[in-house]
Amino acid sequence: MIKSIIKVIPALAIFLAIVSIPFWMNLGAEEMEKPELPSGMSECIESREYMRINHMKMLDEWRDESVRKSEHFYTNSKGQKFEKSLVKTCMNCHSSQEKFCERCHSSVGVKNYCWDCHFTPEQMEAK
Amino acid sequence: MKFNRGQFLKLTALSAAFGLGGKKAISLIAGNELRAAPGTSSAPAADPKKRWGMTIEMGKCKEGCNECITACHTTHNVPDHGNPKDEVKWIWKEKKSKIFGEQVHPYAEKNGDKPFLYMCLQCDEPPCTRVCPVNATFPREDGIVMMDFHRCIGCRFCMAACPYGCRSFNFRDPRPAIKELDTSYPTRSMGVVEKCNFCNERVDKGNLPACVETCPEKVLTFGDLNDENSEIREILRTRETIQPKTELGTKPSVFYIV
Repeated sequence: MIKSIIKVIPALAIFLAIVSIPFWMNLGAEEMEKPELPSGMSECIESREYMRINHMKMLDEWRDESVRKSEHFYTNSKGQKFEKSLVKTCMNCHSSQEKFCERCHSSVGVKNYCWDCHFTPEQMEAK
Repeated sequence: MKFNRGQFLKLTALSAAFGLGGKKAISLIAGNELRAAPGTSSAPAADPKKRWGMTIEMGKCKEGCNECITACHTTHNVPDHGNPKDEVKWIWKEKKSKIFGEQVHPYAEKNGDKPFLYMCLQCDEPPCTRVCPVNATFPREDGIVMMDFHRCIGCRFCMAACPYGCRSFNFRDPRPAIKELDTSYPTRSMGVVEKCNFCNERVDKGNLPACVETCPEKVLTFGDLNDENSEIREILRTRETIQPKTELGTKPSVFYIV
């Protein structure tokens, strides 16, 4: 009985080592660079917490509502009006795609295909 | 660890009860609602009372003038791959025989197969929107046959369904093939169908489509077909107009004055 348990140990060790690769590969890796927020602003169009959790849902709803229902304006919880536009509204303050969107998304391995078609502020400036 | 049959059954029953709680049980853990946007919605710009249409008076169109085409293709970042196989076009000149088929006869000689301006005819009964499996193309309330480029999966059913051949497919990445990028309008990506959308982005803001605005000869007239007092209705009342393939029941919103 004990003999057979001992036999399993090396295989078990190899298995655990492989499974935990993501953890020890990242040991000592540099900490993720924090996204650069626009200076001199305290809040996005909704509260910071709300935007952190919901920005992707908001963008998804915005694109559906503006393209499919021709509803082009968003009224936030304070009653302020904003055009439902990634390029014209969001990127107007968050003026860098590389320093804002990309920093989080690339570190969590999410590819934003927004920029396959829409122009980033960097590209617009280069024009 | 001891885990007997009794405990197992209790745990199973408990999780089953939790599962039956449905969304309420989930929100007990997950907390906040999965819907964004607390207060949204404004009056939609696509007015169901309107029906946008266009007349094209080919007699006024000057040979060799391509200003409307250039204006459209530059404002919408339409790529030019330089070969007919990969061609993408929103508005272009097409031989009359290709549009009106049997109505072209040899006795008209030079005039018989004159190139006509051609674009998506914005049908009232569009076959393309009926076959789209993902609703990426759909009829707007104001008659514009719209493309939601975000949603297109590139199956090209719409291209097969369109009897007018007014849709193009991006076989290649369009960005490198655009001579002059207009960053105020997005490009498309590879594997997406595109066509003329009657300049929905301009019409929503109360402007005329780019081609209509640019034409120096006033060949194109754009307006509301439901408004009896509109310029376009006056033209349709007084002039003789024809439309291609009306026998199909597609009811195009573009009319030709020949």
